[in-house]
Amino acid sequence: MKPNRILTVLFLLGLALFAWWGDARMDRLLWRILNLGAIYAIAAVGYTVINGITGQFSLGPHGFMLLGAYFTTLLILPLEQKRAVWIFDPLVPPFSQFSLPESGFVLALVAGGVVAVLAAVVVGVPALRALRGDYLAIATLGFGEIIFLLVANLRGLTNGAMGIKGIPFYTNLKWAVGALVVLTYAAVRLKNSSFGRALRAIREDELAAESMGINVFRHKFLAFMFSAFCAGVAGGLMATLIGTITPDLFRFFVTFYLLMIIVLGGLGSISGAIVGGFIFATVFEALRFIDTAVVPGMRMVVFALLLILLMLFFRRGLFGREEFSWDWIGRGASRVWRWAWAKMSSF
Amino acid sequence: MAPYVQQLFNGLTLGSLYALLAIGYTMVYGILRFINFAHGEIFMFAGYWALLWFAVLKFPWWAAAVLAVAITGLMGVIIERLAYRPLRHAPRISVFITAMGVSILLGNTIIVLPDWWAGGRQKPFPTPPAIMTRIFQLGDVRIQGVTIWVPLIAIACLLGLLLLIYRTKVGRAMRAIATDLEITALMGANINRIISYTFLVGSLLAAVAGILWGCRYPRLQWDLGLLPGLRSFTAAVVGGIGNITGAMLGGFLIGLGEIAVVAFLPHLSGLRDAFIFAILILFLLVRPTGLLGKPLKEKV
Repeated sequence: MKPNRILTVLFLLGLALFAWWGDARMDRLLWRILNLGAIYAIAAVGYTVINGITGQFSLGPHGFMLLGAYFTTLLILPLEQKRAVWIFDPLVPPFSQFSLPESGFVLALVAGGVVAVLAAVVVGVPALRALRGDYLAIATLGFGEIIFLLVANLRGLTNGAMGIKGIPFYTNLKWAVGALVVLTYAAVRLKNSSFGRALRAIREDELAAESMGINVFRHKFLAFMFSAFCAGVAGGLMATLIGTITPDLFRFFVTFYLLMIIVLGGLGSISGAIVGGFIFATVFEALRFIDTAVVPGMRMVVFALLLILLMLFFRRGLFGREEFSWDWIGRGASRVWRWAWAKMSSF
Repeated sequence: MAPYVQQLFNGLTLGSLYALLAIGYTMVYGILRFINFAHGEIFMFAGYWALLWFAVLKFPWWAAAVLAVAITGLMGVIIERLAYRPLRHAPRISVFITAMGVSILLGNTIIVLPDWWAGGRQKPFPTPPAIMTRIFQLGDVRIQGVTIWVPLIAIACLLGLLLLIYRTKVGRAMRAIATDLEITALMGANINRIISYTFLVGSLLAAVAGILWGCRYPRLQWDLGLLPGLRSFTAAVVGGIGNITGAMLGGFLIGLGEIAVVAFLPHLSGLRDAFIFAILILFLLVRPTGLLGKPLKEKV
């Protein structure tokens, strides 16, 4: 085994231990922030695959997260809770007939992701074939709004604007970090394969990529489906972390958060998306005092200003298009060591 | 017959507001090839400026309206100067992300402004002058003054705009930039000044639309800009983006269509924006150049 692989395995073991310890006895606020960070990171990893790596500007992930959240909830909400929530318009079968136990949580999460992928097929077949750039952005934004309007109006399925209460709190660090690790692994494998190189070729020059024999639509489409799956899973995790969902939970502002995350991390960097997700969750929580102490809503003003300043002065982001690797750490460490050694020997 | 005539006037009113807004999208797109996502928020801000001058500082109506329009126009110019111009040579997506940031910044600024002016809750727009609220009776058709005045004012503005574009030097420069920015620069036109003028004109029209919107639907809210903005953008696409007459046409079509859905299919009115987005997506897919736009060839 190569030393780098050993380091990775050790890191994952450490992560597992940390998640196990954290679920048992971590401070609740910190625990919640880490969960939120992992969920944002999951959605952001998917988002950066389509936005950063493939260069196709989508503004629809909030719609996919909404779908994932509702479908996962429909599967795992206990039956008595289902009877209590849908009062005016009864819940339609088959969802009114069954509910998955906690052991089926992973199934429910995957199902949420799959429903998001199905929606992505409906959106992607026309939109990705014909549109690019800011037209694609507006069209996906439109699809996201259509999903929201459907969720808000199909009361027999979603209970409309009143939302769904009493969702069991299944999400914990084991699930959130576990899903993050699995999806990151998939994204990294995707990026470093010939498929990923084709995606980057499409980002750099679509016409040139096509003339090199890359099936542009198929590549964009698969990247889009992957990103929708990540968003759906993130939505399901979010629903079971918060415990209450309404259609308003995933409006356009969520896409704005994700955009901030991947811009901060560096458009096109998976490591950047993950680091950005955790930074965002932390800062978002840390700045809560602005809303309470100054004026409610000030926090979003600060974040919007931050996004503009990032775009104007720090467009590269934390990672640029680079990825984290052990060699990178090694090189950095040896550089610091040599620098320190030179300083010390000059005394 | 009477309800149809009344709905026709309602549709024309809404359509003329969308037309005024759509111009801003289409002019900026025609010249800089990017979607000014913050345009809807500029429109929304105009209503709040009018509220400030008229309801808070007690200016007369005409002065409040003029001041609000002027300030909003200036806002558009300043935003372009600070947020978009530094990114003129960056990838177009960067400008678009920045425009989104500006849009969210403006919307949330309304939330944090003090309660006597704005704030997160809905604010009533002051009652417009009597000429707007009067009801005209023609046989059994009852028409509110506002549904006559709004289209008239809008059409006057649109005629003024056409004069500006086709009969003045600045307008010629704008058309030249829309054709080819670099060649126009080589010809000695001051590109930055012309682009500032473009944003000024677009924002002025949006401001007129914002104040008229307040007279027609007298409620202001911080997220007012989003949906009318997207509907007007749809109007610009339907008309053929980059084409000013097309944007006007698209605006009226979208406005009439929306009123038709609300008036004649009331049980679907909750989904009216879904229809508008469906139209947008359909047009983008089937006829991206819109009704009046010319096809663009891609250069290799």
